[in-house]
Amino acid sequence: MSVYTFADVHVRLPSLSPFAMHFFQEYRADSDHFDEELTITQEDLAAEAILAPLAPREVLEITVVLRKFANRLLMRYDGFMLHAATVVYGGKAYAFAAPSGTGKTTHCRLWLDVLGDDARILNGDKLLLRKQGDRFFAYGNPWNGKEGYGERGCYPLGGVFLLHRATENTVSPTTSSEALAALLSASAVSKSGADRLQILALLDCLIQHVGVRNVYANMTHDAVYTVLRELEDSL
Amino acid sequence: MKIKDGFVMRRFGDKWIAVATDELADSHNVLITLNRTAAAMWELLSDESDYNTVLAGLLTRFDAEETQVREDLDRTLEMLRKAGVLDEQH
Repeated sequence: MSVYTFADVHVRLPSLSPFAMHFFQEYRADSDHFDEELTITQEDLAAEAILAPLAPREVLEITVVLRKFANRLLMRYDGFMLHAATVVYGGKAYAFAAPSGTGKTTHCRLWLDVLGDDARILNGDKLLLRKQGDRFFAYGNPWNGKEGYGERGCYPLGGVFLLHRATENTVSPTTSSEALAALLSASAVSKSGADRLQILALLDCLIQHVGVRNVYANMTHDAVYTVLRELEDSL
Repeated sequence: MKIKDGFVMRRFGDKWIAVATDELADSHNVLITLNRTAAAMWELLSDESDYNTVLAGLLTRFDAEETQVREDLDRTLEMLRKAGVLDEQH
């Protein structure tokens, strides 16, 4: 058993396959102190296999850990996982949420093209967020998607964008209902009433205090400039 | 009639949002957005009730003409029926 640190929570995990140990390696904790302990049962793996029937056991281990940790984050640490690609710019994290295949990671790569070393990709696929007061903090984590874009780090969340593919680049406001529906879907929270009440409370705070906007983007550099202008206008 | 079991609701400013949970979430993976009047109707329909009882409940809560309250109730009931969240078997 080893301890890992995800989103500033020290988690003890059971013995893992070599593949999974390697996957989590960068997030090994410095000490054996832990805040949470997760188990991985055959039932967990079987339930995960229903969602990904072709995935080998070692990959299922990784996704079971994510699912269970995300649930602990929600129920005990005012946090949640968001299916979003996230860039860091000017010391803040900006998350781009969208269904798979929309081009989240492609859009974030454009930020690197346009801004060079002034921007980084914190995570290309799954963002971990925690609320402290009215602020949210974005955490790098090992679940960073098939392209492997991401790094360790924690940054204040500067904004959330709902990404849509379009021919013209524009940013527009969302209604709270629109933002809530999109983020609820992107958070992949379980169907339990307790989980859903908790995520609604967190999303309410995020929508009010961080802000959620639509960005319609055509995957050119101009898409990045469009978002940057929006960020400058809102400062 | 009553609202199907399995929803949780939370207030967001001047709106209320209801979300399906558990098995209901499989077929109702949408948000129901309600204004203050509709949220009151939802609450009155959380237990088995009938049209006139709900109407009477709304009239005690809101200082409005009965005609207006009936129109709002009818409109909301239709919305709830279309969303598939109203159980009218009983």
